[in-house]
Amino acid sequence: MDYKTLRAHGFTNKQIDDLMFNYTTAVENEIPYPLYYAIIKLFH
Amino acid sequence: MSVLLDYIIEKFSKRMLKKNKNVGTTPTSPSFRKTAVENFILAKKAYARTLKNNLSKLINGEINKSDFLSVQRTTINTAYQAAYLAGKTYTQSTETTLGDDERRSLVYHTTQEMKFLEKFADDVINNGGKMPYNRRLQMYVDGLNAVFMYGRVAYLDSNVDINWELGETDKHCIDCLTYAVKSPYQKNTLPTVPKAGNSACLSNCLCYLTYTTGTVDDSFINFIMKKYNGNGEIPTENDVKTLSALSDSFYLWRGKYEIEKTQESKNLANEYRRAYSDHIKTNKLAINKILPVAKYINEIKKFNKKFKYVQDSNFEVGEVICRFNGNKQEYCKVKEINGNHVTITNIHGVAVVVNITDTILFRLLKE
Repeated sequence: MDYKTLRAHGFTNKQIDDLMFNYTTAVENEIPYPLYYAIIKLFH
Repeated sequence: MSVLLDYIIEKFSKRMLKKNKNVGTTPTSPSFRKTAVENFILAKKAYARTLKNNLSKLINGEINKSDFLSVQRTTINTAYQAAYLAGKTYTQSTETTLGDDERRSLVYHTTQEMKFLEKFADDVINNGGKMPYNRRLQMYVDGLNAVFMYGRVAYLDSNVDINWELGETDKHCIDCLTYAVKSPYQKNTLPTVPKAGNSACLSNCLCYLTYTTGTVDDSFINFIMKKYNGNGEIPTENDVKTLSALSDSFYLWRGKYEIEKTQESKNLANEYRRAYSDHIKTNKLAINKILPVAKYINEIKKFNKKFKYVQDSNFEVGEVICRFNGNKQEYCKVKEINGNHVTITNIHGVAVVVNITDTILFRLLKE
């Protein structure tokens, strides 16, 4: 996952920062499928 | 100005989804849909066979690179036309041949595919590449599902809401997750279709499309594309409904058994598995009788460590929970709790009410 890909998908810088934070936290906590978890946590 | 732009896009765009193709068409009947599926399956079988034969000839030195590319181009274009037409006639029964614009668009897509195939041919000649050649070729074959879906979606009503549904896989790519979270789309805003090669997972993608408006439902074709094995009859739409319900019940009780280890869960899982297999056997359906469990059980075990299996509604509004829906793992957000019923928000932002006794829910122990 990189900033370039996320920007290409139309995420704002704020959303990317929040997503990266959630993703890193999920990885540190060994949560399965951290990217999916981070996205759900950020949206809706 | 925007009317003019719409006209130009409609007339010259190679993307069929930008065009309003469904005008004046009549939706199909179940028997017409079954025929369209049969045509697609035949086209896919022929496509796989010819691509593999041509590859064998290149490997054995019977043909050179230029001949290989020439025969593959013809094979791809023929298969694309058949798959697109099958998708088109799956949606509607008014137009049963390809239009000139559609042929042009398919030639364009064939040319795009040939760029990858040229690199593939170079790798074969130079003994390069990391992936086994047959597996790599299978990715081209799987890509035909996407062409069918382009034909299918192009003839949908432009008001139909389309959701990008994540498939059952242990890891989703960023592209698929984004397509899912940004759903719903209309056909002219749909970024791509699964297996089209526009996501990081390429044609390994296990995602599929669902529709939230009208009577459009792809559970039949999605089931066939995933489970068809070529040995027997193509199931009817009713067969698919029965098998899907049995499969979901099996996975629910098999998963519960893995967590609770109760005899009741084990018996129920076995009962549903037997009913699933019997239905296929009795009706001689071309569907695998086995319901795979290895990956599913691994996932259940994985969540049973870091998360806590819950059977009460002791959730907090806004917390992220894990749900197993059939054999598919999903993350959702809790929206509302009402006794045994929990309203959750899925990746599309759609609220779904689940009964905690009819599903498997996990809650994160601590973050």
